[in-house]
Order: sequence, then C-alpha cells, then structure tokens
Amino acid sequence: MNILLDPTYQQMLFDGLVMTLLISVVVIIVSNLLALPLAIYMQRPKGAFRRVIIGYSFFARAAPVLALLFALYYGLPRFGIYLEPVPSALIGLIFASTAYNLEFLRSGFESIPSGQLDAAKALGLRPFATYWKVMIPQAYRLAGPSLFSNAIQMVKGSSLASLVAIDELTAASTVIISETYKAIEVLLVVSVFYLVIAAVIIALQYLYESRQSTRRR
Amino acid sequence: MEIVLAWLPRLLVAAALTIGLSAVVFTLSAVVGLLLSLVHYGREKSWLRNGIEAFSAFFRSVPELVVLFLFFFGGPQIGIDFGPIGSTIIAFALVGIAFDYQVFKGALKVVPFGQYEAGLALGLSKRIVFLRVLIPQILPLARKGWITYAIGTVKRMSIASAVSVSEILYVTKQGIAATNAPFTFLSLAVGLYILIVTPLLVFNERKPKQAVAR
Repeated sequence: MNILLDPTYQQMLFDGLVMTLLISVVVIIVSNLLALPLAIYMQRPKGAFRRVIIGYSFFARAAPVLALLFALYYGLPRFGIYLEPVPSALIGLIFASTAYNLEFLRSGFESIPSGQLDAAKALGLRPFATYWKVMIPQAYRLAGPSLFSNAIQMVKGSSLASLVAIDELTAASTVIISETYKAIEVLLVVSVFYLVIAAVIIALQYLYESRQSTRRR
Repeated sequence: MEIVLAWLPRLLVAAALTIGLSAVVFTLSAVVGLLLSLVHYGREKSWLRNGIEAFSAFFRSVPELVVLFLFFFGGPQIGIDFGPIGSTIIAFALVGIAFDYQVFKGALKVVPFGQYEAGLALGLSKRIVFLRVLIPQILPLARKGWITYAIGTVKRMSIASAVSVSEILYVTKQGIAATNAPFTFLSLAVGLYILIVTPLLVFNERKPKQAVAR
C-alpha cells in the first residue's frame, strides 16, 4: 500500500479526481438544461424540428459513447476543427447524456393526462404558467429517479475520457499502474472514489424525493 | 469505397465477436441475476441479501472500464492471467449481474408474496413454485429493463477495445490509424451497432402479453 503514500501519486490521483468531478458536474448540469426545452418542444403535435430531435435521440442512444468520443477526437481535425481534449470529450458526453434525459422527461410529460392541459387552459393559465406550474413539476416527479441514475451513468461514462487523452481518475490509475504494477491496490482506491461520488448522487436523490413527498401533501 | 471493401471482412468478424461476447455476457448476467434475486425470497432481513446488495451497489457504481482493468491488470498481479477476452467476460458479466439483479428484484416485488405461500401450502416444492409460478410472471415484467440493459451491453462492449479485444471499435481504431479516414470507419462502426441493436429495440417496444395473476 506504500505507493499510495507517495506524494507524486497522491497528487496524480487528486488531480484526476478533480477532473472527473469537473467533467461529471458539467455534463450532468448541461445535459439536464438542454433536455428540458427539447422535451417540451416534443410535446407539440407538429413541429419542423420534431424529426430532427427524434433522429438525434435515436442516433445518440444507438451509438456507443466511446464511438462518439472517438468521432470528436479523431474526426473533427479532418474538418480543420481542432478542439482541446477536454471540450471535445465534454461535447461527446453531453451529446449522449442529453438524449437519455430527453427521453426520460418526454415519457414523464406523456404520462400526464391530457385533460390537465385542457383544464389549465380553461382556468386561463397561459402556456408558460401551465408548463412551469403544472406540467414540469409532474414530469420531474416521474423522471426523477431515471435522471438521477443517468447522472451516475455519466460519472461512469467520464472514465471513457481517459481513452481520448484526458487525465481524469481512470487515466491517473493506468499511469500509476504502468509505473508500479500495483493494479489491484490502485484500482480499488479509484473504485472507492467512484463509489463515494455515486453515493453522494444517491443521497441527493433521497433528499430530492423526500422534499417532493412533503410538498405533495 | 475501396477502403470500405478492403476492411469490411475484418469489421464483420469484429461484429461477430461483439455479438458473441454480448450474448455470453447477456446470458450470464440474466441467469445469475435472476438466481440472486430469488435468494432468501420473502425474508426481510438477511445477511446474504445485504451481501448481494453491496455487491450490486459496487458493480453499478464503478465504471466498467475500471472493473475491466481490475481483472485485466489485477489478475496477473495475483498470478491469474484472464487475458483480454476472459477479463472482458468476467468484468461485464459482474456488472450485468449487478444490474439484472435489480431489475428482477423489482419485478419480483410486483408479484404478491401470497402466491409463494399458496404454492407451498398446496404442497408444491420450492423449486416448482419458483419455476412454474414466480419466474413465468417476473420475466415479462422485467423484460423492458432487462432488454434495455442488454442493448447497453452491446454498446458497452466497445469499452473492451481498451484492452485490445478486437471487437468493432478496436478494428475501427486500427482502420482509422491505417487509412486516416475516421468518418468512414466510425460511420461503419455506428451502422454495425445500430444493425445489431435494432432487433432488440423492436422487440422491446412490443407490449408484454400477460399481467400478474392476483
């Protein structure tokens, strides 16, 4: 275990952890912010972009995340676009994550009885108020658990960024393993870091759900 | 076009490997996950169930890549060389079992416990109650979550390229390195994934036939 007492390796793991947290937080926040307007747009019966969104969602969920990351990493320079590794990985992960969040919210909206929309209209609520006060809270109540578990998936997905030249937690572990050959020790420590991050997300989910259930009364 | 024709045979072999590995992992995860969900059925508190829950929490929270490295790099450290394919099967099966266990456990909660008691009261053996009463009911209930996870398994197999398993994305990467045509190869790769996954997606959209007997 003495390799973990080595300050150089401690620093590498710490820097990796910070990068993992940074990527995860950005991906979770941005993909949730993007998914909501898309899901609301999909509630229209007609719309020019409906097919585009459906196509995007299918493609983003059918293609492996790693293939998306490779496309941005190896593919974009062919078009003369040179992105830094971090923004390029962020785009790939956000592209994939948004599609899942969009689908969870969509099925959340679709499970709300359509009579509620008519009722809101009859009460004279404007579209914005209808969504903000009636539709969105109910959609989130239904989509909540899926959105939280997708957040954990995205933390796990950030480990794939190690394969496109990003020094996050998993990449730090492979560097240390290649120098010390202590794979099990290093990977178990890294696993504990991921477990703690997942535990924090699950704790936030409990907090969110208990707040929701008190509000409903 | 010539590039495509030259590399297509290798990509198809890689696709076959992806399908084969996914099938093995899918079967192992479903069978073991189902069995684990039946362990100590109906008991409120059980040390064995707590152990299974801890196992499931661990393998659902740690990235597949890290679990894969644990066997690929960690195996030789304790004198067992699992090799790329062996590590891939073990790592993905463990993660799959952890997920499928949750799916089946959730489905099992929907079936009233009285059915199990009634079966035993009728003098049926535990094995028969599980095989003929419980499992036929939980399979349709669990199907959606189970197949959704299986679709993910096919896609996640791409992660095995990191330990040089020559599945689709690994050959794609080699193709990109050799020909410098990233978009041709990545489009082919994604096309292959879509072809493999679409039958599962279509199957998953169909409505389950039976509901739970009350």
